[in-house]
Amino acid sequence: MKLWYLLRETFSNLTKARFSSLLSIVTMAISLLMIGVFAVVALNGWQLIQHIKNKIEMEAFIEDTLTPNQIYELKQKISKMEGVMAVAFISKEEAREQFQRQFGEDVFTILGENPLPCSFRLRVQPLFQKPRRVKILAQKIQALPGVTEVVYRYELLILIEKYLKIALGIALLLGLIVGVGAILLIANTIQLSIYSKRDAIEIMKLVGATPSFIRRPFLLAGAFQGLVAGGVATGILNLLLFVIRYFVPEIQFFIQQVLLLLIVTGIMLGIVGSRLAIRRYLK
Amino acid sequence: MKAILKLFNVSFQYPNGDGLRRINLTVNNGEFVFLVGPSGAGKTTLLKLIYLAEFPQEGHILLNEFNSLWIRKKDIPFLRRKIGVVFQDFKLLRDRNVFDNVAFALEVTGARRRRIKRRVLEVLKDVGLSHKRLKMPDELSGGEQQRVAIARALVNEPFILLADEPTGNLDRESAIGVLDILTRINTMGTAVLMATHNYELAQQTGQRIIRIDNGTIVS
Repeated sequence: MKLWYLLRETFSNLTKARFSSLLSIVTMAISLLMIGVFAVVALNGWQLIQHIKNKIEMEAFIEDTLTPNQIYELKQKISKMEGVMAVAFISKEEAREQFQRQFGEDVFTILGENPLPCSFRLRVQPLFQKPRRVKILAQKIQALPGVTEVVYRYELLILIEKYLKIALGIALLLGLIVGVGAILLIANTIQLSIYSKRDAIEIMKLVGATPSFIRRPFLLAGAFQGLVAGGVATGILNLLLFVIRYFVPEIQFFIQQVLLLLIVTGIMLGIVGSRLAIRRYLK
Repeated sequence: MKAILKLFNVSFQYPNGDGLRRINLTVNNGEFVFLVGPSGAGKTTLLKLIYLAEFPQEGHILLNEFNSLWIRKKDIPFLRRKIGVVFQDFKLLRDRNVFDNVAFALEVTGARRRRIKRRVLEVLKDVGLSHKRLKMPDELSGGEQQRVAIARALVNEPFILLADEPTGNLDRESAIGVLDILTRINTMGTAVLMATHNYELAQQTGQRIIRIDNGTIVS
């Protein structure tokens, strides 16, 4: 296909049915905006959960009788365990200071001695933050000589895991509904603009144009509409987030990926929608 | 003489019962054949079967090297490039001028711009419309519009031209003008199969006439 022909026909498709083209762009922009809002919420929710999970620490208490050398060796052993991200040693003195920071009183003054044991605080790698894996890791550490007890927020992990699965399920379902709905809506709207060119399609078929030859200008027009709609949706979403941030300045958004996603999704929706819409005329 | 179109026992029925029954027909290279019959006799359906807008439910059609039984869907466009089709309602694109309407049929073949220009000017000369190449279809008379449609059908140098009531919308004078052009094209070597309900018009030309009625060939 000659490029000048493709561009001329694409331009003609866009301008001959201006109202339908505009309607397609508006429909796509609204669909994309919905997808965008959804993606921003999902992405930020995901980041929030990761943030909470990263804060979950495991604490391994050790015997007071261990020598500095033994403590060092134990720390090395724990550090090398699969799933461990970072290990920090908390001495009895540090534990006492933390107690004071937490409760506002010195444990030494209350009890006349410091009963708080030394411990290792460890952070678990993100991939290991599953209840079962954390449990196994805790058991392994517990089995090391010199370790008296391992504590961690097992219930919180289970809770997060449970709600995460539910939320992920709902998100996927909603995403699917919005996505399929958007494609059908867009295909229907694009069909309006293709309808106005049905005579031309009929004649093209009669003079021996191949289906792909007929289709290509419509797909390019759809891609262009999708690009414009993606731009419009991106602009509105940015404006929306700007307004939200004005009222809630501490809120964080991760939207760069979403903006790119909207443009790419817009182009894809335009192409898929046009392809679906023109199918019936090419039978 | 070599046959370029052969129909063997072709039957086709629409859901409402209308259609064609056991049609046998041969058109030879360079021949001019009239297909005459009243409205609803099956003329348009027969032409549709020939350019494979519909497929025979029984029997088969041979068009040069193409066979309706074996042709693959993706080859149909290539067959259509070798069959020119003209309709009663012209089927011109209203949003482009005469030149572009004719050029359109060559553009779909991927022809080069220079060849398109040369060939379009040639066929417009053949139908006597060179001077109106920049006019829009709505600025032309019915006869002129039909001549543009004929030029478009000819631009790919088809082996046969199918004309479905090409004079049906025209006054007598324009109809004769169109018929003259079709005859001239035929003398240059292109076979013509023209459907019409006007028996008199067909008879005047002295060409072969096939009469069709109620879905069957009657003579």
